[in-house]
Order: sequence, then C-alpha cells, then structure tokens
Amino acid sequence: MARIRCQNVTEGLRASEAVASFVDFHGRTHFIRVERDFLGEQNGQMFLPVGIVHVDPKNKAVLVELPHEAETGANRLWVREGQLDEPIEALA
Amino acid sequence: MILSDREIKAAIARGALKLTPDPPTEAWSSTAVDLRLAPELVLWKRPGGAGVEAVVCPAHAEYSFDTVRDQYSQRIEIAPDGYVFKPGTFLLGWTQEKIQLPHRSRLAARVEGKSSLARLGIGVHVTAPTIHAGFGFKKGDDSYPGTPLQLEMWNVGPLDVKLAPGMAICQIIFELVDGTPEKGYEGRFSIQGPVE
Repeated sequence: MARIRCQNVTEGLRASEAVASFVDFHGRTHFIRVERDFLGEQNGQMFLPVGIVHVDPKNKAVLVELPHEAETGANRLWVREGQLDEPIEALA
Repeated sequence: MILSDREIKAAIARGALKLTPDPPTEAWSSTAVDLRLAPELVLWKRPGGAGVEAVVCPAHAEYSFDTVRDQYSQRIEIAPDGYVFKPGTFLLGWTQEKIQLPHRSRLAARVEGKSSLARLGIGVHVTAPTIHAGFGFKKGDDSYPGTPLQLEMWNVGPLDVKLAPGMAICQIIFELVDGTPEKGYEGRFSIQGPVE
C-alpha cells in the first residue's frame, strides 16, 4: 500500500487520534484526523496509508484516495509522485 | 443489498470485515449491529464574548484544523455517573468498536441512530452516515483492528439526556458493493492529460 509523507503530525481531538497534514499537488495543506496507530513511522518520518487511483506520468502526479474525508473536504486529491514512499509505476 | 445478521457473522468469519471487540449478543438485530459509546467526547464551543465573530472556512488556503481544534474544542471524559447532553449542543463521540472493511470484501456500511434515542431528539450523524469500502484497512498489517466510527451528536429535543460510556448509541448496517472499487485494484494505470 502506498503511503504519503506527512508534513506534520499533531494532536487529534482525543488521545488516540492524530491530525496528519500534507500538501497536495498545488501546495495546499490538507488535514486528516486518523487513529494515531493508523500512521506509519520510518526514521522519524510519519506516513499516511493511501490508495493509488491514477498516475499521471507526464506531470509526475498521482491521484490518491484518503482513508476517509479530510478536514478540508477532499476524498481524492493529486499529489506529487515524490511525496509517496514507494515507487509508483504507471503502466502503459 | 443489506447483509443479514448471518451474513455479517459469515463475513467476519472469513475475514471480509472486522468488528473489534466482538459486540455482545444483545447488540445484534436482523440487519444491523448496535455499537457502543466510547468514554471520550469532544464539545465544540461557541466563540466567547459579545460581538466575537468566528468564521471557519475549510476550503480556504490558510485553513488550519489545528487552530480550530485548539480554539473551539473541549475534550470531555464521561464520568462514571454519565454526561448530561444538553439541548442545543453538539458533540463528537466515537464508538468503542473498531471497524475494518477491506476493499476486496466489496462491503460498505452505514451508521444510523437508534430509534429509542431518536425519539428523545438525539442524532448521531449529520448527513454523513456512509462508511466507504476500504475504511480502516491497512494493507500489510493483518493485526490492525480498524478504526472507530466518529459520531456527530446533536440534541434537538427539549430534555437533558444522560450519556453513559458503553451504552448502545448507534447501529451499523452493512451493504454489498456492486463491483470492486477502483482503489481496491492493485493494478495501476496511467491517464492522459495534465492535472487540473
């Protein structure tokens, strides 16, 4: 499963929650509240699991689906390929 | 198609959905399972002071959820003798049960209120009952139990209603998805054209 690199992880609305923030393709910051243990950690960097829906190789952009609707309203959004932690192969 | 109690149990048995911890026997009905209220609540506070104007705009580029959380929310732990839910107030609550709906299961769900509470004016969601296929699913982590449901709770009745942790607060209804969601496919494909 692909994971998107979080910009920041802060407290949620209750102890078991966290708010992960990340930017989309256009640089806008999004916030999503998840259970803290849903996030992954690697070398101090936090990652949010996402589903891959489309890959746009021309723009090096990936359309990802969030685990649920973000606080900013998005369910799916475009992010830059480099924000994901596994190589994304676009099939011809 | 709505799953019956037998189909829900069969789905749990074959790993097509997770419901953790197991709901008690009395939580089951023919086509739904009651879920219990977790002890944590969050109360959204009104902005204080006369003439104070607070406008929250999630679509704005400068929107910060952290700021909204810090300014307007208050955590509440339900006391052993309960929490009095006042008329006209709005709370966020969570279920004790965690839910997981892997995409491959082709299951989605809806959270709905219980009629006993609805008759008192208590609602448990604000027009957002859908639990999408894939909810609480963390591929590669078979031990992950899933995610609790968040409830948007309102009291439009005239009475104070006492909430207790562990009380049956809502029900979940499972539905079969027609087709496998696109996100669930492991295959990836390209699209043409620039983004937006």
